[in-house]
Amino acid sequence: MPDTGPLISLARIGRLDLLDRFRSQILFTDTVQVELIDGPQDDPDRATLTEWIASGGTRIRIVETAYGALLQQNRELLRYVPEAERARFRRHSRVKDAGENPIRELADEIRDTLSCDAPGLVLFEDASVMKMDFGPYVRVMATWSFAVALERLEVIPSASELFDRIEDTGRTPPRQAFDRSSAAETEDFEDSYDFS
Amino acid sequence: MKRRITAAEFLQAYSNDLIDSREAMDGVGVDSFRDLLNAMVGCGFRLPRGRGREEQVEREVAEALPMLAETLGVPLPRVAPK
Repeated sequence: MPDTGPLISLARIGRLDLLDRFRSQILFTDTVQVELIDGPQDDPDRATLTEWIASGGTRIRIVETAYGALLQQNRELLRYVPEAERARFRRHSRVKDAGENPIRELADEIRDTLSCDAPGLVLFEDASVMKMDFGPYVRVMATWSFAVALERLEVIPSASELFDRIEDTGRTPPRQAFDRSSAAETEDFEDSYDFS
Repeated sequence: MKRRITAAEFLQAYSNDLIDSREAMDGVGVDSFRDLLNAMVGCGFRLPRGRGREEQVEREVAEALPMLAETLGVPLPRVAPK
């Protein structure tokens, strides 16, 4: 899981079980972990994902990255910032242009460790993932492609329904706009923007 | 490749699938996807529609189906529908 997108999308509709069905190790970076659990206290995604990560036990492996360590350090420093100011400082605690680096570090880790006996699957919504080399034993697919594959395997009845449900929660993953067929484009294109 | 300078050039490039949202946000000078969408709406640009994405989806699905079927213990579809 190089980015938080697929996890948040599936958590929103209570379908993290689609990942649990694989019963294989799940890797994500410390950056992803921080982003997943660093939301507002009343954010339902945060509670759901924190519980899911905790219940994952040894199946979940966190890959440490240089940016993740820096992010963690910034979070520690936030404790010394007055409560009322934290949200503003948190926004500025991110390092500009660092987004691709932890993904690249995860790609290096996967490329160097996976073999043909234990292939892997990378799920993403962050377009920069497509530029990374995860090695020859990994299949890379967007959440939408994953949903389409599950539909064809009759694991879920409909990829479109699954994404409709995600959209009903107020989340429109950037990839959904990409994944929507051009033929389905409406005249009023502003309808497809997410202002939630 | 032509160097992009103005915010409009970055928004146009994002609309045309030439750059990703992160590069567009940097080019426009905003630090959230929401602000990028506001800029897109405000300036009248369409969201990227992913020309060619259908083929990419088909390729991703075709490559992953055998592994997914084996891991999930379900049969492969006889003919993958288009």
